[in-house]
Amino acid sequence: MKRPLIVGYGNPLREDDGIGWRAAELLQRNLAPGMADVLECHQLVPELAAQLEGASIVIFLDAAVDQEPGAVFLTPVEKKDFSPWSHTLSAAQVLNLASSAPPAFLITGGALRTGWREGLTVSGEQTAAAMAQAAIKLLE
Amino acid sequence: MPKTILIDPVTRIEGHAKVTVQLSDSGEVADARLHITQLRGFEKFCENRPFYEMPSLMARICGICPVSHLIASSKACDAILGVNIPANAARLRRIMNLAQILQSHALSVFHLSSPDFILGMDAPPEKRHLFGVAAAAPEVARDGIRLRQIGQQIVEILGGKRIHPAWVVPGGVSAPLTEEKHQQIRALLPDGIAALDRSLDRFRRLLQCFPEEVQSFANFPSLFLGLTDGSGGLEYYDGPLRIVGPDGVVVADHLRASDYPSYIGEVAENDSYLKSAFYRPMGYPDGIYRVGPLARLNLVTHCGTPLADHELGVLRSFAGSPLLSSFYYHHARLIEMLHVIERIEELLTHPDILSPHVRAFAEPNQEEGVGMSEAPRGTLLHHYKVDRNGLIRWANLIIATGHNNLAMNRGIKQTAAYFVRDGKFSEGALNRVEAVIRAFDPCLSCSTHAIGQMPLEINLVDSAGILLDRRTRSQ
Repeated sequence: MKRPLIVGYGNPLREDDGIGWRAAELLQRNLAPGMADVLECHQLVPELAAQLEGASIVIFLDAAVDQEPGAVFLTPVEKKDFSPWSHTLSAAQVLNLASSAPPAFLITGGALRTGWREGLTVSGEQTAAAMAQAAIKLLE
Repeated sequence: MPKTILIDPVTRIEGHAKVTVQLSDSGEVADARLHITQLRGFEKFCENRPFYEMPSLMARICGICPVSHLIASSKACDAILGVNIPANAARLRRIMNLAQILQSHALSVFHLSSPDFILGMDAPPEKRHLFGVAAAAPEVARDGIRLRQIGQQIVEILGGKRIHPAWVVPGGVSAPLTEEKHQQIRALLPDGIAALDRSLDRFRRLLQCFPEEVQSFANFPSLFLGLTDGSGGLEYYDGPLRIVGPDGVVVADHLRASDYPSYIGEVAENDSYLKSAFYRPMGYPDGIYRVGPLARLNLVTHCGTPLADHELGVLRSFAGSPLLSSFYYHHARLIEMLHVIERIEELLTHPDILSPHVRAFAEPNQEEGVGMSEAPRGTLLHHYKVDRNGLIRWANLIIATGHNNLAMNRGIKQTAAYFVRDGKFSEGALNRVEAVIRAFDPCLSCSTHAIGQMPLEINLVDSAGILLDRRTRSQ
C-alpha cells in the first residue's frame, strides 16, 4: 500500500538552511508510526525519482531565502522542467524524472540567517514547527 | 603599464580537464594531451595524522567511490595492525564494495554516457543529458536511476549513509549485519537483475549504431591489469594481481600488492596533476596498461556467476577476446553490474553472514602497509608508512585514473585523428573526444556530473603552436 513520502532537504550546517531538515525530523517524531515515510537529505538527486513512484503523495520541505523569515508557503509541484545538471535538482525536476508521479507539494519556510553554523535560529525553529504543522494539515 | 595576473591552474574545483591537440604541417593530428588541472594533495595533508583516521580521511577523496578508498585504506591499516580480519568482516566489506561498484557503474553508463547512446553522438549538446534520455527513452532513465538507487541503498543499509559511511574500519567493520538489514538488501536485488537484463539487451542492439566509435575509441594494443580470484575469476576485494598482454597472454601473475614498486612505475607530467602509471619492466611509456571493467574482463577466464558468465560469453562471441576497443568499457560495466548483484546474493546466503565476529583489534605492529582493491574504475592502491606511535609519515595512492592516464592520452589522440576533418572539430567530433575520456569513467568525470559532459577546453594548434580552433564547455 502506498504511503505519503516527506522529504526535508537543506544544509543543517548552514543555520536556517536546515529548516526543511528540521521540519522533517519533527514529523518523524510526531506522526504515528507507519503513517508516512520521512527522508532528510542535503539535496534532491535523480535517485529520489524512483522513491516518489511508490508514494501516495509527496511533500517537499525546504528553506527559502527569498521569502520573509518565518513565512510559510505551500505550493503544488508540477511535473515539469529539466536540468542539464543532475547533481542537484529542484522538486519539479525530480518529479519530472519519475515515470508515475503522485500529487506533490512544496512547503517552504523563510530563513532568517544562513551562516556557517549548526543549529537553527529561534525564528528558524518556529518556522520549522509551522512547516511541520502545514504538512500534517495536508496529510489530513 | 597594465599587468595581467594569470591563475593557472584554478584549484579547488571539481573535475576540470583540458585537452590540447597538436596538428602537423599537413594538418593532421600529431599529438593530443589530456591535462588534469586540479590538485588534491591528500598524500601530504594526511601526514602526522593517526593511521586509524585514514579510512575516513581518504574516503573524502571522492563522493562517488568513497567506499573504494575506505576499503583500500582499511586494508593498508589492517597490514599496519598486522591482523587477519575475521572472515565475515571480509564478506561484509565485499558486499559494500560491490554495492558501490553497482551505483558508480550505473552513474557512468546511464547518467553520464547514455545520452550519447540514446540521443546520438551528434545530437545537440543542450539535449544530451539525463532528462533528454528520460524524454526519449524513459525506460532507460528509469532503469539507470533504479540501479544506482539499489547500490546506494545497500551502502546506506550497511554503513548508515550513502556517501562517506564510516562502517569499514581498520581490523574489519564496526558492526555486524542484522537479520533485518539482511532481508532489506536481498529484497532489492531482483529489481536490479531485471533492469540489467533489459539494459544488456538494449545495449547489444545499440552497439550496432556505433561502428566508428568501436573502431576509434582508444582501440589499440595495451596491457591490462587487475585483481583475480587466483583461479582466473573476477575479484574486487582481495587476491593476486594479474597482467595480460593485448593477445590475452598472461604477462605476470600472482603479483602481491606489497611488491607494487617492482612492477608499477609512476611519472609526473609537467602539464597535468595526474600521475601516469606504467608497467615497470617495459618502462615508460611502453608499459602502457589499462585497468577497470574492460581490463578486468580481459584478465579473467570467467566471472564466476551464471548470468554474468553467459553475458561475457555473448560479448566475446561477437567482439572477440581480449577486447581492445575502449568503447567496450560500457558493455563491460553492464556485465560487471550483473555480476555484482549475483555476487551480493551469493555472499548473503553464506551461513556465517550474520556472525557477530567482524573486527580484529590490535596496536600497530608494522610500520608499513599496502592495501589494494578494485574500485569501479580500476585497481586502487593505498600505501602508508607510520612511526612507532602510529602517526602517518608518508603515503602514496595510485588510483584507477592514474593507471589509465597513458591509455586515455593515446585514446584521445586516436579519436581526434579519426574525427578531426580539415583541421577543425565539428560538434560531434568534440563530443567524441569527450566520450572517449568518458568511456574510461575517470574520477574527474565522476565528480563533475555535468550534462553527460565535463567542463572541457579543446585547443587545436598547428606545428608552430598557433591556435587554429578552440572549443570550450563549462558547467
